[in-house]
Amino acid sequence: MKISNNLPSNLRFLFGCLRGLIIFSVVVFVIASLLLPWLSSHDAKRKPPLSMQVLAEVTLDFEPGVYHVQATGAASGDVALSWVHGTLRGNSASADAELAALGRWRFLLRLATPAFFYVCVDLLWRLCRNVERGQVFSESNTRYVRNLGLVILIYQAVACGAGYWYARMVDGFLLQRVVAEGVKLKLHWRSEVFPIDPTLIVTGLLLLALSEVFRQGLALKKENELTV
Amino acid sequence: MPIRLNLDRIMLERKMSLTELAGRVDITLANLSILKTNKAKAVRFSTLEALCRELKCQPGDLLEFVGKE
Repeated sequence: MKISNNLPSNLRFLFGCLRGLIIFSVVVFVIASLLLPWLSSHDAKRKPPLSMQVLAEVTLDFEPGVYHVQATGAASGDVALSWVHGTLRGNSASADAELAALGRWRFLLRLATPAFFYVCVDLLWRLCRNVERGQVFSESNTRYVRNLGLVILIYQAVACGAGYWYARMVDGFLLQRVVAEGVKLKLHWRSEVFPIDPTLIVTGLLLLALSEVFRQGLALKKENELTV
Repeated sequence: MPIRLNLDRIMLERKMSLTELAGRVDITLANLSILKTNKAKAVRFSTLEALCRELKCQPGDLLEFVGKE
C-alpha cells in the first residue's frame, strides 16, 4: 500500500491549525469569563444572569413518587430511570463568597485542559516537522514521543488529584448549603470525583513504549551509519 | 573498539592518498575517513574486498586486534 508522501506535511498543517485554534479558544474563554460577570452586573434583570457557569456534573436522586415512568404496553415497573444526570450551575458574580470561589476554581481547572492539549499538539507538530524533513529516528523525536507519553500520564494524575480536591469542595457546598426539594444531589462519580480516562492512560503508556522503540531505532540507525 | 583498522599505515606504505583510494574503492571520502579514524562499528565484506584489492594486501594486514581500549 502506498502511503501519501504529503501525509506528514498535511498532519503538520493540521496540528499547526489546532494549535492556533486552542490559543484562540483560550483567549475567547478568558475574555468571556472576565467580561460576563461585568456584563451581568449591568443587566441585573436578565434571568438567568450571564455570569452563570457550570460548577459540576451531578446525579439527581429523586424521592419515590416524584416522577413516574411507564412504557406503553409494558407492565408497571418494567422500565425505570436511574442515574439521572444534571449540571449544577452557579453565579460567579454571586455575593456568596464560597459560591464565587467555586466558580473561580472551576475556571482555573478548565484552563488546564487546553494547556494540556496545546502541549500535546505542539509536540505532534514538532514530530511531523522532523518526519517531513526525513529525520525519523532522531534524538529529538525520541524525546518528543517520550514527553508526549509523560505529559498524558502526568495530566491524568493531576486531573485526578485536582478533580478529587475540587469535588470535595463542591460536595461540601452541596451538603451544607444547597437545598433541593424532592431530589438529593450527589456529585457525578465518573466525571467529577474520579475523572480518569483509561483510553488516555493506555495511550500514554503506549507512547512511552513507542519512545523505547524510537530509542532502539536510533541506536540501529547510528550503527548503520558507522557501517562502511 | 579492540579491533583497529590500520588503513593509514598501509596507505602510507602504498603512497596512496585518501581521495585516490576513495575513488578506487568507490566509497565516499566521509566513509573512508570513518574507517581511517577507527570510528567505524562494522565493515562490509564488499568494502574489505575492495580495500584489499586496491591496497594489494590481506584482510589481516588491515585489521588488528589490540585488546581492551
